[in-house]
Amino acid sequence: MKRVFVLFAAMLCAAMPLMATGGAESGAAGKAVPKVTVVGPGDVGGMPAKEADFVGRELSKRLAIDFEFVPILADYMQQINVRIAGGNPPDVFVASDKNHLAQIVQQQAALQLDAYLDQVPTIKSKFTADDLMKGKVDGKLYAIAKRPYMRYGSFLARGDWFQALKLEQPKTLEDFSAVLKAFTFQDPDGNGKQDTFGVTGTDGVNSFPPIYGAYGTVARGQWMIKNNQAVYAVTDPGFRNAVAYIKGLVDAGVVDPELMANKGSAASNKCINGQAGMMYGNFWNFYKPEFDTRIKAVNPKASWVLLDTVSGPGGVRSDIGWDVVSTAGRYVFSSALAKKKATLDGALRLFDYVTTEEGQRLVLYGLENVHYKLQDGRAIPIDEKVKEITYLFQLQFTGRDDFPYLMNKYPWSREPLAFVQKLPYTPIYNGLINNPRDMNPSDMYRYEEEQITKFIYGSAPLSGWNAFLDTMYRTYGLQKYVDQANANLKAAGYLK
Amino acid sequence: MVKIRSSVSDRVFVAFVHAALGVTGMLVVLPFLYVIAVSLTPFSEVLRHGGFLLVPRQITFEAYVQFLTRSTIPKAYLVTVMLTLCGTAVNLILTTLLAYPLSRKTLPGRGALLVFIVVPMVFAGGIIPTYVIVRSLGLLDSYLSLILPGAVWTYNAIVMKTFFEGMEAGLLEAARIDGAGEFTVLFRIILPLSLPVMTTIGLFYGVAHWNQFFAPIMYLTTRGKYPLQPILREIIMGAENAAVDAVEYSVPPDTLKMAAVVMTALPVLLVYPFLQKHFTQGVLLGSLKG
Repeated sequence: MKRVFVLFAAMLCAAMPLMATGGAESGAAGKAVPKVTVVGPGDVGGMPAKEADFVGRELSKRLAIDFEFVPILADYMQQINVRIAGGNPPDVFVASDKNHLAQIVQQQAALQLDAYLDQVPTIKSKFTADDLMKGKVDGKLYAIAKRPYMRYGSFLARGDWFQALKLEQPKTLEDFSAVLKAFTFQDPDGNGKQDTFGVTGTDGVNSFPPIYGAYGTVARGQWMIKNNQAVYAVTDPGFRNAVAYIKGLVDAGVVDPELMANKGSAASNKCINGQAGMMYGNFWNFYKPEFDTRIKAVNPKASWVLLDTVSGPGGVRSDIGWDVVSTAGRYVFSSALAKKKATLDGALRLFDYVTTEEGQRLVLYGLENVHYKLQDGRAIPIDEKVKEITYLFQLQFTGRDDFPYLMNKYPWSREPLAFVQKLPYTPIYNGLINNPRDMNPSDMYRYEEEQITKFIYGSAPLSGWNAFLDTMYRTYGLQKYVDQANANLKAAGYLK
Repeated sequence: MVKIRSSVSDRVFVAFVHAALGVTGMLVVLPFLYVIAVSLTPFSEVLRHGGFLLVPRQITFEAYVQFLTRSTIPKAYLVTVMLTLCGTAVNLILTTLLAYPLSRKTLPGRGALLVFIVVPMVFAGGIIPTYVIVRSLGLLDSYLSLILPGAVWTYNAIVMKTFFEGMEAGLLEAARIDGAGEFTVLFRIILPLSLPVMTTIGLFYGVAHWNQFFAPIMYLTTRGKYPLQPILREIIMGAENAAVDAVEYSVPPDTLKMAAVVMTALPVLLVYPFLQKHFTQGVLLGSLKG
């Protein structure tokens, strides 16, 4: 009996300081400096605690605010939605995408920012009309859209396999299949076993953007403009031909059989350990020093080449479909800030400051003379300190000029980045197109993906393609989506 | 000793049972072995084996060092341990104080009270109403928000009530004749005899607190206050899909992911063997009388 009491007593004693923590901290916020909290998707593990976030502290000091960035990775949208519905939205938060932004505006949880643009003169001068448009709903500004990152993707292949088999870089679709066949059947790793595949990927039927590009089209789910009309990828005749070509690759046995099941880094791991010779992906997955060390530990001979686009029928070539209105995040100011002037002013100061030259230097390169040195107005990163500031990308709320930044900060990225920028791409417009009111595209997406998978793997004959499109229009309401797209693109001035 | 001769069919049956149990056992053990093996192997070695191995060839604790040296981990451990201890203490006290009166048939309005606590077991309030209540009570961003909303689980209270009801009525009557009040009966007679049900229910509550994920991500707004599970989830999510599409972000390797799984699951696994004796007894006792 006594032991039970002692146990209870001990547990309660332990409980006291813990419970006290909750109350004490919430009571301590009554200072003159306004607290500005920004919430967005981020790298929770890599983001230092508030006390250790030296750049956050510096921002607080320079702007006379109490600033904190709270990254969330798991169930981001749900957390934000519950906080909005519960009447406790963060001061500033990221809307997951355009439709999420529209929903937040409809819930009256977003502050309309047009009237405050004069308080952010740097944003006003640096952001183009297109940049601002990404944060607009029905012509009104409800979010500040982070300037986008650049294109980082291309086909990456094992350079040592090209050398071992004396292969040339593929220039046409025929060359491309020949390379994949050689990678699969000619023992590129020289181990005497047939244990390799030509290509793998991590994005299911969308794993091969340049193949769609060679047929003059883009991957599933994307919108392009042809003949002054919005065109949904699968309805483009080129798309069917690209699917037929990919089916040919699958039939030839040169595609990783787990293509549809690969997740996260599964595909790049297969390239690293020599199961597959090629994949489409971001170049830094293979070029970053820490990844390079890992790769060399598995196979010291492994080397990588970036592949140029291949040309298809009529000499067409293109890499990925690239959203002309893409953004790396839409930052919404909570409508509750209308009544919290000090916090709103602080948040506006913060967003404007991280866009100025001085603020950009802080959120790109860290602290002067600690993480970088200033030479002729240019920040020279101190190499051994670069690791400490990898988390800063989360504080770059208005984005950055990606190209000069990466070229300057990461010497290893220079060559591949320059290469990837030269690849031709097809403009797509997904960021402009709203979901139609009486149609749910997610049902359509699922059906579409299942059917294309069936076509690629031969469980449905390609002769059924027209019937598939017919179902897309009749059962899933694709026409409403097309009408919506045409209306949106017309309103934005992309269609005449 | 008399040896019972078993027929061929008996032996075939026994062999079949062994085989079936063996396979089931393997199904349970193999994933654990995989997780532990990957966490202890250098990542390059894992890749060389196509990402799958059950016995580590070279042992390294690199992934564990990586996990434990993350700036958020030590605090998260402290929070989780404290949350489990305090939360379980609060749970057990309040559950006992609810279950004991309900176990007394003489309690006025007992039937109505039972309906009152059983209905929410079937129809819960939902995420947003619960959030609004937590906010209105001023519990947001406080650890109390992780303890108070689930302070009594109806299911556990009913198991405990059933256990109390099963106690020898004469024992309690004898205490009363000796002049003991309700609290004396509860603390001097009932609780000392209730170790099995206390450990069982304590374990249910304890494990639930240890695994708290949803409440922290909903109610705690200060990042530094997170317990372990949300952080584990972030590490695993980071490896599952590169949700953060920036050059600077590096997807955590599988070895780190597995080390994180081991380090968060291990403490609970270690507690089970010590409580197993009471645990089995407690579950059975609670379930026999309805």
